[in-house]
Amino acid sequence: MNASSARIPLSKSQKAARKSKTISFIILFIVCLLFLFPFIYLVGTSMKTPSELVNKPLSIFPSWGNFTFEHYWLFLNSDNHGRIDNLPIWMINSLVITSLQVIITLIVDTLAAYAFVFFKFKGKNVIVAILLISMTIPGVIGTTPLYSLYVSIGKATGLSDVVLFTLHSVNNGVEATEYIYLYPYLWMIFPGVSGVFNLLLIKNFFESIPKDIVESARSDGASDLTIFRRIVLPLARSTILLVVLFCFVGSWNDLLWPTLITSGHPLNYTINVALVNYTGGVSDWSAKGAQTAAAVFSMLPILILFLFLQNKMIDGLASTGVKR
Amino acid sequence: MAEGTIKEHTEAGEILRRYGLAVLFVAPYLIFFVCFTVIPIGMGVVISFMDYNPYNVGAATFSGFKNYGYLFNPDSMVAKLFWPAFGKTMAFDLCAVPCILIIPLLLAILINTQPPGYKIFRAIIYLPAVTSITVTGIIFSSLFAGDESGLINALFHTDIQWLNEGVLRWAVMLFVSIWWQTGTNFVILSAGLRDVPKPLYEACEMDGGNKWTQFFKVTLPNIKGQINLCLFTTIIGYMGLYGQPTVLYGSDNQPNALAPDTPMIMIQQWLNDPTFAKRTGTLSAVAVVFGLLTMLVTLIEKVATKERKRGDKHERQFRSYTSF
Repeated sequence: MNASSARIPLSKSQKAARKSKTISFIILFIVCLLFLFPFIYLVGTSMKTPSELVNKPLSIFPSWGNFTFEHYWLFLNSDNHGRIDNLPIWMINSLVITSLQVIITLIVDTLAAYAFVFFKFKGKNVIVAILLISMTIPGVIGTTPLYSLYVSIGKATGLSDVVLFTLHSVNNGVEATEYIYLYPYLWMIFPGVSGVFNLLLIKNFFESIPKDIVESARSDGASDLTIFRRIVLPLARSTILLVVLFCFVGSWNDLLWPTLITSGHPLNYTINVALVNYTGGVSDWSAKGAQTAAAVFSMLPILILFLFLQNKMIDGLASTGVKR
Repeated sequence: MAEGTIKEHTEAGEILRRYGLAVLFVAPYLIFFVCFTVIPIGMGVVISFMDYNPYNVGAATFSGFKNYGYLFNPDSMVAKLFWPAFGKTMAFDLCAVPCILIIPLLLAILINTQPPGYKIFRAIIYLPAVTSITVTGIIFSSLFAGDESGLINALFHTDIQWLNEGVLRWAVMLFVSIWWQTGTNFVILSAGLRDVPKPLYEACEMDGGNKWTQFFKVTLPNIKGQINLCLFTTIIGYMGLYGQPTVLYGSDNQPNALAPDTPMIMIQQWLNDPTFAKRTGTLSAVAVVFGLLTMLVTLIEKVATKERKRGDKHERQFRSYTSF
């Protein structure tokens, strides 16, 4: 790169670069150990036997030969402390809500972005300006009315009483019937779709596609729907993947809104909301194993996504970060 | 004449076709946007001037500035709940926001020297940012558990009640926030650093600038856009602090509606408590005031970081999306 530079200063700067690389490596290595430690602790704790959980708080991993998967088995199998036996249902809730939200967001956002970039129509700039302004208005102003709408519409239309599934269970000899309602799902999926950030991300990418491509396809008689599906979408594959990731992580980890919506409907909880009941410095150490196992279980989808796509995700976030 | 009308017809048809298609493409997104962003925000402002109960919408009446009056009357319950919560959040943000900007910046500078394995380091530092706050809460509330079974207490042979009400709990929250949210800013800042033109550093070195002058005269001005972006999003995020105090609490301070930790928690508790439903108008006034205060803080941030001279490319892009 610096072919024109003189030789001696180059080797000097190379030496300096090597030195700073070594120092960075050492510091980053330590920092990364600190960043990883909580995860290692989490996994280690989830595999400890109940007696080791209480007696050996200092050891991160269970002692040799004492690894156990009983906590994982317990919450998948039956009730451990009467609290987390619904974990598989909550996991399915999260998966359904998140994937539907991602799919609807993608369809709606790509269509709108296409219109904003490749169509000329009156009021386009006004709409984009309104979208941008809305990003600076704190969402908290809308939270209360949105929840009020959820309550009033549900009550007025009777939708809030529509039961999707009925679950019968026998707990300590007491028969119980619990319901999974349809209405909260709708309100957990749809509001997230209105986010402006993902739309802008896609719109920005579409703007980088040469207009000539679209124009010439149009003059060849291709319909806009064909151009959208055959030309624009394939070109935007990596941006779309990025939006999928952002949307997935955002929806999966959302806490406040699902807490509001599912309040009073425990079977409608997302896994994130459900696990809030197991946080806090409560000294019930016998439950620690089940808690940590549940936490590991709830992390799996995000972790799988992250392991496969982290490079793309980080690069994408980095390159689009400034364009927010 | 006839030819002209035919041409006009096809032109009109073409415009209609194109226009109709544009509406078809934009409409789905706009419906979501209007339903779940515009209407709630508008309603929020309107309801704040009303006596409003979502369970009995018909009985709503306008009440002028009564709801805002409560908020500024030091003897009312609303003021007694909101202002301390707001104060606590602001005090926490004054400590947390600089930390969550400076630590990622330092790490980004280290990673920018590209030591061996820097992609792995990058992924590890970013990993906590995709972890949900509940999993984070489960990990750290057992690390900081108040009895001798907490790892930190066991390690230092102490018996400190980390998570009980007080400064200590907020310090733990700060620590957790740094671990949890360093990643996003780190990735954005390191991308900014990567794009700083190398010749600028060489020129600075030629002119006899040492590392510090390089940092302040070359690095910082060139990533100003990214720094502003991180500052803006971090401030917004931490004004609406919700997750950390929700998941980190001790056995003696279970969440209760009489002393919310932050304004967002207060709003969530009121909404989920049907006995507060008749105070929805008051809560909307709280949300509007809180939203305006958030905007005020971001405005101050913007004025404070406003560049005297023309900004660079990223700066302008950023501005065009965030400042209105």
